[in-house]
Amino acid sequence: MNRIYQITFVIFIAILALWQLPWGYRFVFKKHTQTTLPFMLFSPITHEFSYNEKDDQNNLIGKDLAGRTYTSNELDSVLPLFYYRQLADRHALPDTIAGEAMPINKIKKERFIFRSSPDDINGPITPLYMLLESEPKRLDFSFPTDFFRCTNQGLEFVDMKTNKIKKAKSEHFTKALKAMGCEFPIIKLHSNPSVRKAYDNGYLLVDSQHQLFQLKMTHGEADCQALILPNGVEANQVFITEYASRKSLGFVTDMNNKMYLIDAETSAAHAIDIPGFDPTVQDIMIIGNPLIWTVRIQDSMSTAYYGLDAHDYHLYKKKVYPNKQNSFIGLHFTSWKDGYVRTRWN
Amino acid sequence: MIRPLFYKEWMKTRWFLLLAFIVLVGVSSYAMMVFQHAVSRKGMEHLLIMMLMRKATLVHLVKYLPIGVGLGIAIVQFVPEMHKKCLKLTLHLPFVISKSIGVMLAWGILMLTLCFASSFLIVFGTLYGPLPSELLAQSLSTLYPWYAAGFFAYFMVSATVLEPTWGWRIGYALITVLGLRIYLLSDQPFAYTHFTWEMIALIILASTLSWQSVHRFKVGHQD
Repeated sequence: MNRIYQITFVIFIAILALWQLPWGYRFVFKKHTQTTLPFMLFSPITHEFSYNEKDDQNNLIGKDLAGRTYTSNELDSVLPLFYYRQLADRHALPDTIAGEAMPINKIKKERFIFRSSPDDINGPITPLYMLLESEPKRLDFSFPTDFFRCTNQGLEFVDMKTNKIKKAKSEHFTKALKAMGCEFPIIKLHSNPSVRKAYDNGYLLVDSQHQLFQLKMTHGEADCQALILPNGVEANQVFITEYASRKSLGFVTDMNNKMYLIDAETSAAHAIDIPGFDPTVQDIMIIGNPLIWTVRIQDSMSTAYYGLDAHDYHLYKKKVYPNKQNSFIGLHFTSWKDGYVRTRWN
Repeated sequence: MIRPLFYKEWMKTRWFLLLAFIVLVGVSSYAMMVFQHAVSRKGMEHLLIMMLMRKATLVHLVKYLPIGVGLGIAIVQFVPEMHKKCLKLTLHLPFVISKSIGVMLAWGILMLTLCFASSFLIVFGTLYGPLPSELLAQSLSTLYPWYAAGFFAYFMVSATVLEPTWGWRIGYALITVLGLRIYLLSDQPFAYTHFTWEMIALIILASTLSWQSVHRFKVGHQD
């Protein structure tokens, strides 16, 4: 019997050592081994990735991957759509950039940042959603007085005050989506439930057949449309966008992790010329402007930068940096890829 | 023999149990009163929207109490045994030693269950009607790892107090601190959904260590 107790104690010590020793090792040595990549943007002038760096005297100098160096002011001109305020302040913002007329209002309107992290996708969620009125009577948006949940039969609206199901509204929205060809249950959906925004694109929904839909509520009525994807493309993950330019409805990835942009005007899906993006394991940041998108995709293996044309999303250039692999495997309970506590080896 | 042993445990722990019960039930009730007060001031809609958007659980005040209760019960139960040398008498009772220890620990488990169940029922009873099932689950999902931490703290502190040698005591204390950290890694709702069995396994492992301590005490290990 005593042997069993000793084994128990050893198991405890083993678990805690496997958990804490790698953590302690990384805590002590990580800063010496990790290299951080600079914040790089693709230049519409030089068609090269450019970035700021501090020199030995702690002065900021501009550099690009072609080996050129710039002063801070020169770098502003190399990345005019990112540093447009600096240029405007010095009255140095050109009227045309890369042959296109570029008034400052156009730059302001068409620049955006899109980010997604695996934690956003894999993390625990409370499966209740709010559908805002897209055309409120007053200027500002206001929060609804009901939630909806996705069931196998459709959408179910629940009154917040009474916690009772709103049968009429539930049936109305379910029928409207079914009329568009939606087959329940909804498997993925995304919206921006903020009331501090200029306009509302509602929800992007993926049904059980991996078809894509947009759902809004306009004057209390269901306002939905089926979004046609290219032949053979099955929607997987969706991201609504509500940028000032109003050019897009959102991003969608398919089952092969190909990424598309949904055009707001035509509702067509345009393929983005990057090799693939898996939102469940990769972190993405897109910094967009009227001419260029800089896309950064990170995962445990590598960090990849892509410079894309903002008109047709074709690839100009890419640069991939392999990440240093962690040679010290240990027991972990948390991860940046999701918000769950669970046993994992890495 | 079980009833006298239970009576002995009752005599040792009754005042602490009363205090623990009042504090745990009081804080749980207070948390629910804060919820009801917020509903009456801001309206149910506002509160539910905040719960959904900020992942609020309404029960954060309870967080460290189960650990405190587990730790306290272990101390009031076993420190007198060691300090007044009562454990030696207990071990000489005409009763199997492992069963004696089992009865004492069963008393602790019973009392912890009573305290935690009361707290849980207050939260559940208050939130069950007004909250949709998803938001109710959001609140309750953060509670049960804290209750589990209370049981873990109870077993580990029991083993530490019953342990006769300082070397092992320090080892147990280290396991207690690091083990409790596992139960408190995340306050996010549903974070421990995939860790329930591991939490239970750690508690079961911890529960065996008290027997080891008593065995070492019995064979004469002493600093």
